[in-house]
Amino acid sequence: MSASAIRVSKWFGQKVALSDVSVEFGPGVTGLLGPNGAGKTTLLRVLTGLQVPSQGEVRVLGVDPRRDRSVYRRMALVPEDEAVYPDLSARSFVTLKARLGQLANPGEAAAEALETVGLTGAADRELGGFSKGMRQRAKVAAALVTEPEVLVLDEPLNGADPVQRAHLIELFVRLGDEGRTVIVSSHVLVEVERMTQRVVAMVDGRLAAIGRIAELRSAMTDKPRQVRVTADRPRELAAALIGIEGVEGVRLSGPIVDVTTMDPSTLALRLPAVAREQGVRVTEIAPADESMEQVFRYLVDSGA
Amino acid sequence: MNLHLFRHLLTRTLRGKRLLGASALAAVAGVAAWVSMAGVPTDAAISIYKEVVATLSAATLSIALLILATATLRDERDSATLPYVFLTPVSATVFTVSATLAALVASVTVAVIGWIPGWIGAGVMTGSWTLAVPALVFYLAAAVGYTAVFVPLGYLFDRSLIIGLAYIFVWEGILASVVPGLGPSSIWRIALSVYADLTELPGNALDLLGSVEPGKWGAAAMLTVLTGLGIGVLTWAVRSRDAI
Repeated sequence: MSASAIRVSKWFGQKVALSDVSVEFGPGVTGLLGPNGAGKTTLLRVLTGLQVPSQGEVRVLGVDPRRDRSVYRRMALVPEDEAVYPDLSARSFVTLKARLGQLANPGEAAAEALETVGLTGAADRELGGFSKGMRQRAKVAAALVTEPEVLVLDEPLNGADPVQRAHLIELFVRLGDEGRTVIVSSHVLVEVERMTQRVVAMVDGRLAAIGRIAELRSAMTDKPRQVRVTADRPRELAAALIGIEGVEGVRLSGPIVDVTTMDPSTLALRLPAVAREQGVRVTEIAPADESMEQVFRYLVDSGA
Repeated sequence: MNLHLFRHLLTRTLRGKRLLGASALAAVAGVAAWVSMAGVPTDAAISIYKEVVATLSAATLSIALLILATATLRDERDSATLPYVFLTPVSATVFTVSATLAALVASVTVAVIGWIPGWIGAGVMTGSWTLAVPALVFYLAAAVGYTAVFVPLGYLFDRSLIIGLAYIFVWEGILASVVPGLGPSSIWRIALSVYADLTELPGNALDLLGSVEPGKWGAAAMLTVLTGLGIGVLTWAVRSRDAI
């Protein structure tokens, strides 16, 4: 395995950020999933040697990054923080990383990395004037410039627009296909799903699940789902929804109807017709319980 | 040493406003000496220059050097850019030496800039262009000593500036004056002992040394040890403490 955490715990004073986490990452893309505060960033920081585990140990390409810093020639991190050097141009920033990585031709390598993330046209503009998405791409270029075997990306799609996201996702998949170990953290399941089927899920500093996304989904099928419907005549709509197959209950709160159902697909199919029959205007339909936090808490509680 | 890391950290440390502010602060003692020498006979002017530079620099130069040395790594940490320089394939010792040298060059730059007005003032008012040279050595010694202590301080503590100010004003300013045994723990006094060895200081300035004996070689030895300790502590911190 390219990177592993072995019984790693990390605490800050009284706060436990990681609790006895053992996980291995191999070649290809692995999604590190979990709600905000789950411990994803701490795990990535410990893996890259930015933070020291309170207990346990870390191995990247066979060594502890804290003891053998030469491993930084073969691994790179895209940190979660938006921070870059605002007064540097993208080219200077990526070239700096190439120089620090001791590359023979830093300028050439930087130009290549900037082209890979589609920033060639903006390479000589200062990073301070970049949009959030462009800054993210500059950070990715700075990480890619040394052609790392292990690439750690902490929420790399934050701030990127849909086109940029698609481009970055395609890039991460390609890097994984090349045999590099790509670890991507995210709290958005669908994003990760587009990159990989292999995920590590975390909640409250603990591992909630390791496996394929399909396995996670199947672990959730016996759980009733919450759907939030906003309508101009919620009382009438709620009364009509009770009759739909699979609906177990409804709850009114102002213009909102929270529907509990075992069969969200049927609800989705029948809802427009029911609304039309009742003369109700529906303005919004949204899943109310599909946040990562709830999904993973459920997995933890059910011992998945 | 890693030249790229050194150059990057030096550039960041000496960024615009900080360079201006620290230089202005470091120049206060020299400018004050220049102003104080106006209309005074040459012998008295020489004495005034030495006394003002020796005493006022305790606060002004020290704070300027504190600002620079703590900023070298603290800035990267505060602006969340530390991962870009920390995850560099160089040993912890090379990382530490590069950072310390960057801070030292920044401190020396500001010390020299801060010394220049006093040198010009001393030259204009006394006609001696060598009068201020021992003060330059004093400033450089202070730059070495404060860099050795304040770079690790900046890396280790979020409130490094406050801790540094407490060291300058409470430890060096009060405790080391009152308790004779604490004199050698004062970087400013170690640097002043070089000044006192290189030139004859007026009584008031000499009294500030307390239990510390004038001596450039003793000071050089202490500053070497201090620099070694500073690099040792920082290397330990890079290896065993959280970087962010």
